[in-house]
Amino acid sequence: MQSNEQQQEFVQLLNQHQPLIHKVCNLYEQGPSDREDLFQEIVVQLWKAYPKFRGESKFSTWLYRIALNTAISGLRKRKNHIASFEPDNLPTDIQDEIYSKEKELQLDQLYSAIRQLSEIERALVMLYLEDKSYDEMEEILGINQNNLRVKMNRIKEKLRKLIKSEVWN
Amino acid sequence: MELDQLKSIWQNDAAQSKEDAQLISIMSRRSNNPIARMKRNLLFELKAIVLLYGFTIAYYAYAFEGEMSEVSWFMIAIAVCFFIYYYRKNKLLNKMECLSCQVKSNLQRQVNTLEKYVKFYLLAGTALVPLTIVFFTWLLYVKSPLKPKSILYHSGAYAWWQTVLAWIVVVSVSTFLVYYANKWYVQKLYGNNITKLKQLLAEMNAD
Repeated sequence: MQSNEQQQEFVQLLNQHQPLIHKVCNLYEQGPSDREDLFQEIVVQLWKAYPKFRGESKFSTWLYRIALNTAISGLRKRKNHIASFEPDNLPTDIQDEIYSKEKELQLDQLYSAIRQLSEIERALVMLYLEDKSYDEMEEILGINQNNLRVKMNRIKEKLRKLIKSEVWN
Repeated sequence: MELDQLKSIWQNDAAQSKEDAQLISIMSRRSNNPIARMKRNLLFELKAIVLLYGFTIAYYAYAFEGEMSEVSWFMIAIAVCFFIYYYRKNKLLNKMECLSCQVKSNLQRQVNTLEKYVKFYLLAGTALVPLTIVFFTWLLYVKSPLKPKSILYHSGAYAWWQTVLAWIVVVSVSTFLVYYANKWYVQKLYGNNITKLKQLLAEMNAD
């Protein structure tokens, strides 16, 4: 049983990194209920693993590993959902944000494009968009840097094409 | 749109948040991860076996004035095997994932452990069949007042090698049937997951 102090500390850390978890959920799940399920599962797994977190790696690296492992290999059963990205399904907080129409559209296109990639490619794109170094990517994914560079070049090209086709559509 | 522009769009998408109270409530929930569900099912299986076997063992130990106590002993032997089975399965489930490990090593671990788990499931489920057939045929022979006239029981009617052959056929056929039925079942349960995990791993390893 974890103490209250530990709980407070964890919630504080979680608050700092909540957007990351939401992004993972948005990338790997499409329906709002699937996204909520994944968010809850990631939080439960993080909390379960927290007592073993020794600070040997950065908290964000540790969080990425758990979030991506839960999303990619969690063997979860997906509910049926519509394949396209729906801005209406975004959490209310985002809807409340005043986005310019253009930004909203671009974000929509970005998510739609990334969702057409494989699970592994999505993880790579996410780390790239988060400006992670190859060292950190290797630490999170376990793919060696040479292989990462090759994959990244290929995925960037693929993403460019997908975004183009999204814009064209 | 250039990729650098995408980065800035991505990094500005950070408006979602949940209240502390919501987070604390989520933290107290149980995991719905399939491995957690497999562990819960295994525990339920163990409780059901303890209850069912406990009742059957006690019943055959005292009913019929203890005449059928062999059934109790057989059930005790099977229960011991089941506890070994439970221990091994639980150990494999505990080893099955390491969510704080690198994504690739976690996938590798899941594939290896899930394959071991499936093999063990198949082996344990199949091994029970010949044991049960042999035991109950023997019991029927020993306990029946009129000795059954069957090729499975050695008597003057059949040569010893015919009885041995009959046993081999009966045990082999039933074991094979159960083996393939079990194989189909575990494939249905875990086959797709193993294939999916292997595909992910192959993608990570590919240049």
